Amino acid sequence: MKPPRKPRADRPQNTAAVLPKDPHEDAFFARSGIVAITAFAGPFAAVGATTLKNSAAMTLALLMTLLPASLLRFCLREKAGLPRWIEVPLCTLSSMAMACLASVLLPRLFPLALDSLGLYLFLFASYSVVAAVFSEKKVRTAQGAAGWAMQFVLLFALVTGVVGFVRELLAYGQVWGISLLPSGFTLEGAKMPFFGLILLGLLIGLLRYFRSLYAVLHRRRAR
Amino acid sequence: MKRLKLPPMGVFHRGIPMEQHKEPALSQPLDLLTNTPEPQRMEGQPVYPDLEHVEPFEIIRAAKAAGIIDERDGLPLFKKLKACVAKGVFIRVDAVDDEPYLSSQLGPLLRFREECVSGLRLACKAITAADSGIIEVYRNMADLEIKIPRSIEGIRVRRIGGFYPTEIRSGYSLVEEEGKRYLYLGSCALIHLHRAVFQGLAQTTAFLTVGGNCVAHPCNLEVSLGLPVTDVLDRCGLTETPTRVVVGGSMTGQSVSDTDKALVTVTTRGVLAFRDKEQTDRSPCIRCGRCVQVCPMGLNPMMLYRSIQQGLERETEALDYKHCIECMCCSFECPARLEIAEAIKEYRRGRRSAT
Amino acid sequence: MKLSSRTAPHIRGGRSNRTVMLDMIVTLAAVYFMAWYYYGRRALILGAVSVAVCLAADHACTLLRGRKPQLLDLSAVVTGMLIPLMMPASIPYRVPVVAGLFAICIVKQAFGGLGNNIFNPAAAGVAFAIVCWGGTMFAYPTPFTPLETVGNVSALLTSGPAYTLYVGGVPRLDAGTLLQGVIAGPMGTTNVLVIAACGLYLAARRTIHFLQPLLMLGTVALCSLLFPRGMSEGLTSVVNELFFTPVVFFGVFLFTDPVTTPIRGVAKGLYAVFSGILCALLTRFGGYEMMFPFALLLMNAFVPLFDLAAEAYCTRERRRAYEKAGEHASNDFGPDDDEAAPEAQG
Repeated sequence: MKPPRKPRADRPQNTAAVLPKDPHEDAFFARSGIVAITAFAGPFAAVGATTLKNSAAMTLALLMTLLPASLLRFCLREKAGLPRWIEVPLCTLSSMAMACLASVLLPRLFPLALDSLGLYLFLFASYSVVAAVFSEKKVRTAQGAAGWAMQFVLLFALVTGVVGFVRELLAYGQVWGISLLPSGFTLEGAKMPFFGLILLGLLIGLLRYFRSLYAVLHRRRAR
Repeated sequence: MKRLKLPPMGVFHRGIPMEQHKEPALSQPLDLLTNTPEPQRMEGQPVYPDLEHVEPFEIIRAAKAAGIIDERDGLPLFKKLKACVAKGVFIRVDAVDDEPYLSSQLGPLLRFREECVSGLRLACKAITAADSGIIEVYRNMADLEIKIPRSIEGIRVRRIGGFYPTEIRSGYSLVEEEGKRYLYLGSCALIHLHRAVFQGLAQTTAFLTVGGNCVAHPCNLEVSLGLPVTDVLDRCGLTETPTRVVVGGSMTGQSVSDTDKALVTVTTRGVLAFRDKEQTDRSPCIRCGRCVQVCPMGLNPMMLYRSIQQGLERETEALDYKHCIECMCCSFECPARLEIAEAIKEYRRGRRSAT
Repeated sequence: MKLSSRTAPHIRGGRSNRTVMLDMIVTLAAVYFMAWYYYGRRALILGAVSVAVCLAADHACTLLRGRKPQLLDLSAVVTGMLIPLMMPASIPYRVPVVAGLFAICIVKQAFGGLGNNIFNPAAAGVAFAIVCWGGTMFAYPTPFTPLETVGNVSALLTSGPAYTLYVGGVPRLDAGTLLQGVIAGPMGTTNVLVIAACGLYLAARRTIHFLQPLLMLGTVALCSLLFPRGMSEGLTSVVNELFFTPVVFFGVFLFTDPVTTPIRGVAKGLYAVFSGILCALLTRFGGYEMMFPFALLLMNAFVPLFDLAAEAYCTRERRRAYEKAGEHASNDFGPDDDEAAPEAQG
């Protein structure tokens, strides 16, 4: 008979318990990154990131909306004397304005992006809410605000980039418009949202694996 | 704790129809295996000539002097009788052997009929029972060569049907049913009672069945208490080396790790020697639900196993693990050969020792 | 003699996981025999390729998860045998390969392996194949036309009576072809009589409970009787639904998978009825001519709900029975230290 498993109290609750506590080292593998991917990048990766070009377009749009919103929020909180409740509406307005600007500028770079993404370009305004929730403890300086926004955009770029790359490869046999696979071997289902969500799940698993590897390496180095 | 009669739930049956394997053990002559040549008469204990000349309290005193233990629950017989004196209790003789391979109550009943019925009459007189008692045997034994009569020495033999485990296997001996109270006594204890009152003999033997798929001559034996299990197995012979030797029933018994050190006790019901096929692979639970179908108490052994393995205490509590009667039906049926009943048993033991 | 200590019970029932899987493999082999009879060697080779791919993927993924692969674990073989049976015999080899890889690696292993998967891997693989190669999946060769074993098939591919039903027509076929199953359709699902016999065998061996496919198919038949598709009426509609669509195959082999069905008997019965209703609905209003894999996947998602509801109901009934129990049983015969022998009563 198998020996009974250790009671729950003995086993570590989650890998966060073994992660290093140094905030500088915590930057890229932040727990908030994983939550942010699941909660907010999910729909974008599942529906919008069907090709690598689409992913690039979305990342640029995010950069254009999030960076000003993050800086604006920092200014409102630290410099101006306005009440707290006005942050979210003002940031959302600024995000929407920047999204409109993006919808005008992006077709110059990615002609087909606006057609395939449509409404999703304007949904980036929702990221201002993300900024409100996740940057509470981290933002003390303007560089901090910009750095946080850049970190978020880079993570988003990574997720949608990987998902878009795999889906474009499987569905069209191309990467960034260049044919790689012999024609005839395409999986039409990779264009569909369910495949994007599956890939997202696999990617999250991979990221958690790397995180645990990182923690193990860090522990070994600390000894 | 209340024992319950479950209403049928759902479309599926409860319990398992088992192949009983009572033969050839039941038809063999019932021999004596002892390490003393003469039966020991108790000193200072009078011998009574017949039923009319013995008083009820003298019967109970004789049971105490002889140290008779009822094999069905391990309680002293005199205590059971004393608690039921003049309370309008009916007596039922338990000769139901519904575990496969065992016939250690049925065999002695059929071999020593007069002694058993005489013991029953003594017990009825001792507690001034409301009637002369009923003998209960199991009905679903298809492979018997011996015929069980409808009445033995004037006492009616009632056949209990149903899958394993039948109702009275829950181990409780004083049962109230529709306003009437019934006392269950084992058939072997009544044989010993007869010997104690009319021959002045103490209980020095236990009746047990020797069986299993590597025993050469399976039979019922009357074995002296304290003999090692090895002697019992040698008496009946082994056709091959067993992988497990079990003291008790084939479903609920204990396996012994050293046959020289394991001794025959008063509650030993059987000595079984099995040779198992090798279990090749460990498979996980495939959620087939068979354990749930057969649980006689209506529990969910599959969820209990999972919650115990994962250490979820509140969930285990909510699944009513306390009502498990440890009949081992779930483990029997499980195609993945998981030790479900064992896990629940261990958990209960752990909780009981913790509180 | 010294022995290792073992746990009760000391005798075990005859069934093991291997016998369950072997029963399924035996019945699927019978279905493959019919597929070989209709379509020749290509059917068998498709099956062999699919089984090989599923087995390899299963063992590779188990190794990747850090566990030891069980060589006698036949569940991947069953999945591998099931997948090509729902596809036309003329399908290119890459389709069952991709479907098998998707089924094993993502639907089975990524969710936790044997016993922990929420969705039926074979159904999910076929659903993925339908989504990816919709046209090829529904173009069937006529039975008894020779098919090349290697390379592309040059035989004429048609749509089957299932498509006729889908667009609202009435397929015209006589009773002989109907009973013999000589119709254009998926490789293993056309001969309903053989599949029904397999279902009876499995029920007799107690691998599946006979009520599960019976309730589901009964519900589908009832729905097709009350709400016939297209222009068929009454019993003709029932016969059309049962014989021209792969519903009997799904009912016997896929809806009865033990891992993805509820546990309690009550829940299993309800699940079968709801599955039948959902199958009828999706067949009527769905986008493909074979909507059963999607119906099955949708029902699989609701299995924990069925389990919870059935468990709550059964617990309530059980506790009510505990309270209502008229019997009181005990082993209480007095205090333990009461050892005095009874005295004479006056």
